[in-house]
Amino acid sequence: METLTERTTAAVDTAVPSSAFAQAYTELSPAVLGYLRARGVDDPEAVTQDVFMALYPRMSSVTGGSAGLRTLVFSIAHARSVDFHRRQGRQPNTVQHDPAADPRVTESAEEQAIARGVGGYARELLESLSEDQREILTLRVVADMSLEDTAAVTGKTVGAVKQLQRRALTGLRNRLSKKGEGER
Amino acid sequence: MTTRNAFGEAAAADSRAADDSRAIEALLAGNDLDHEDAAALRPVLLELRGLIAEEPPAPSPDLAALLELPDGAWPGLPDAEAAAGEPTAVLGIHASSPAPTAALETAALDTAALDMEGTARDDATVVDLASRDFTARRLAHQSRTARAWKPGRAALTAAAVVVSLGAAAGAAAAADGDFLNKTADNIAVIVGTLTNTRPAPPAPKPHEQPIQQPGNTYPGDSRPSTPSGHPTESSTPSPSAPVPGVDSTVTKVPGHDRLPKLPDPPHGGVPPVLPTELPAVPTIPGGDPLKGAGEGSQAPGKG
Repeated sequence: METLTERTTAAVDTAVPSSAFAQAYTELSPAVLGYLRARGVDDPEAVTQDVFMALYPRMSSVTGGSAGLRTLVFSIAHARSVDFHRRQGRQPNTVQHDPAADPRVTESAEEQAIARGVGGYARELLESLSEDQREILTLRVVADMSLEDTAAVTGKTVGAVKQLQRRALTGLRNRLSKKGEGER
Repeated sequence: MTTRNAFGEAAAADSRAADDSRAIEALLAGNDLDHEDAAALRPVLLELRGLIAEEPPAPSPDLAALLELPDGAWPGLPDAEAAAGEPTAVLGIHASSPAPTAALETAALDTAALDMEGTARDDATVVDLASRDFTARRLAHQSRTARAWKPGRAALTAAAVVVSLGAAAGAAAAADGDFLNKTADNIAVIVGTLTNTRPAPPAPKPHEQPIQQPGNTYPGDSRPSTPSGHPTESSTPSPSAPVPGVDSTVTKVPGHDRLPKLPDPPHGGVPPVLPTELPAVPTIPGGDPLKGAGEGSQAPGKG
């Protein structure tokens, strides 16, 4: 899906970063923010800013028009999300005890809905998938990337991406079926 | 391309929903899922796609600078053109988008650029002030450097003079002892002058001994004292004053008055410890003990 304007594409191709950069931020930052939210990154807004700060010096070297720019942006975002999860794996996330957030207290339905936020149910389902499947599905659905671009971002072959996507969707379907049976 | 304009948010939301549906259908179609599975997955994938923000996050100050946003302007804010009623495509950003932090900081800087009278400083003034500040700092640094260097230069000069004079004196000293004493005195005077330290005055002769005055807590201290009798500054005795308990024998050299020879400090450089109990101050007939040193410094019998 081409979302960048022709003006932006022309600006990128002729290596005029200033207006193209603003245009790229306007068009791509919502998707980057959504991708980082889906990946469970803490403070996704700040990481989105980091992604575009890292993009700026590379703007003049972008090739491939809007698709190339989108691939580069999500490559950076993917790297940031991997960094975040690695960092989180090395050091536990410490938070102060908040009695209101104590999990030993049962939440009301309203509290659960607020805590879930937008896409909470879908994110919950994503957690049941493997890391690779989650990554591929997020890039395909939220970042709106093609199979080829997803393969470029993740460093896998197109066939592997296609296979992971299929398994991810099957896994989601099985999870939904189990949930439906459990509710009955 | 998704555009949002004066037609309202409803049209934009519809457009976005249509985009999302198309994207999800394309994804599902590429995986050969049966109708039932696709129907079950569609709402979940649409919810996942709902994670995409509706508008770009407000940029940080650094990013706003890179975006080259004009002062106080964030694309979501209505501009003059929009205020005039002309529909403006703002690339899918709500008119209610928060202004970036950089714009607020720019406004704060503009306020800070006003002087006390409320008039704005122009750029030249600011540059001039900055350059003056830099010049002042440079001059201060030079002054500090000069102050630190001068004593070192004087000491080096003194050492060179002492060495040259000592070499000359050494040759003549074997023949004439009187010449040796003269030379030693001259060297002391030269060293004192170069290092800007006052050479110790010669020991007072017996008929020039200072008169003990009330109010001074130490013999020879002629500084004005407080009514309680304590000196107003530190009570360190002057080097020329005779120290009680110390043999102030004057080594007489024929033709020259030598300085009184003080004993060596007991612990390598530490000055001799003074007795805690000072000798009793002799009472001067007619003197007022409450008067200061300046008032009571007249010799008795003069008034």
